[in-house]
Amino acid sequence: MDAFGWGTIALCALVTVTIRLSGFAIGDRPVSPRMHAFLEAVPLTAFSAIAAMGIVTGGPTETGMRVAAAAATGLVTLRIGKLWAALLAGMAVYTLLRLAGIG
Amino acid sequence: MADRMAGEIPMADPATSMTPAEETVPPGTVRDGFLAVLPLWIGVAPFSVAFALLARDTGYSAAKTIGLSAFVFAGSAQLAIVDLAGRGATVPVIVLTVFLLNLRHLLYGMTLATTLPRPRRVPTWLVAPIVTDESFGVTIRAMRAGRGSDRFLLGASASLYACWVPCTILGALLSSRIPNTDHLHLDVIFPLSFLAILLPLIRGRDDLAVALGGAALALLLRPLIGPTNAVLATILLGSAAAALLRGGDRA
Repeated sequence: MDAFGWGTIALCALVTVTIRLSGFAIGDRPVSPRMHAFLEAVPLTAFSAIAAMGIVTGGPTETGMRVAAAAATGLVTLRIGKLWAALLAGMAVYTLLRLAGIG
Repeated sequence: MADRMAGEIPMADPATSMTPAEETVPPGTVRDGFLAVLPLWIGVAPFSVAFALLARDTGYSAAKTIGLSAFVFAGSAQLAIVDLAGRGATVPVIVLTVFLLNLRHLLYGMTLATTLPRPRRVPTWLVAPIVTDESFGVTIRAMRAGRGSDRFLLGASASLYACWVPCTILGALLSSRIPNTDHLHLDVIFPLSFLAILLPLIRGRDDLAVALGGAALALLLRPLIGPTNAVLATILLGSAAAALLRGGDRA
């Protein structure tokens, strides 16, 4: 089979869809309290991991700007609670720091 | 109208897992979910175009590039597919990589199936194949505010799809006319999004410890096993540790 072919694309799609459906199929069965506690922690661990790796990246200067942007995003999230406002604040801080020639 | 603006989800009472308004606030609709994800389009659109340009440079036709976005619909997996194909990887290696990159979705699906309010109105086969990191996160966030529902999840997931696929089409068909946006560093919106989704989920010291521990573990593991594996390992190890420490007392 050709790595660039439609067959490979179909296989990859099948794998992706099967995994996504399987999670629901397994989760629809009764789960133990311990498993429930595990699943309850999944969003916390997943999002903290993704956020941390996206913020701490690309050297000290880039990381510093992203930490400042994250601080602005976090502050607005906790104060206002609106996703769009939090992203706007973070992007504004990051862009201003870049325009100031820090990055 | 104002309370229906994108991302305007009432915050839960941080002291409890239930918002006081939960009994009166109606569950989120498809439209609510769709609008909640709109702010993330700023980062998703250029990412999708960039994927299309990379696929073109690797040797994918426009039709197959669009097919990858339409049928696989998984950003990191799609990038891995074109990268590996471009470097001459075999089909089993590509498929195995896609499997590993998507394993976290098994846990997302389990979490959603366990926590989404019942009865669910949307067929699983319709919503599950298009759930993404972002739509999962926004829906979990809405659930903590008493507004999460399978319809909200469908709207959020469809919103990402409605941005991702057309932008791939744009990138694949008009690649030579699209300006390069790399210098704008729009990718920074992804970690900021997940931070904004994460913070309202932290309801006490236990949650804070789990989140900080997860961040530290991911950063520790990244140079050892790569970023994607680090995310999966952090979810498994961090969530297992949290479950053991809590002893299932919050279930």
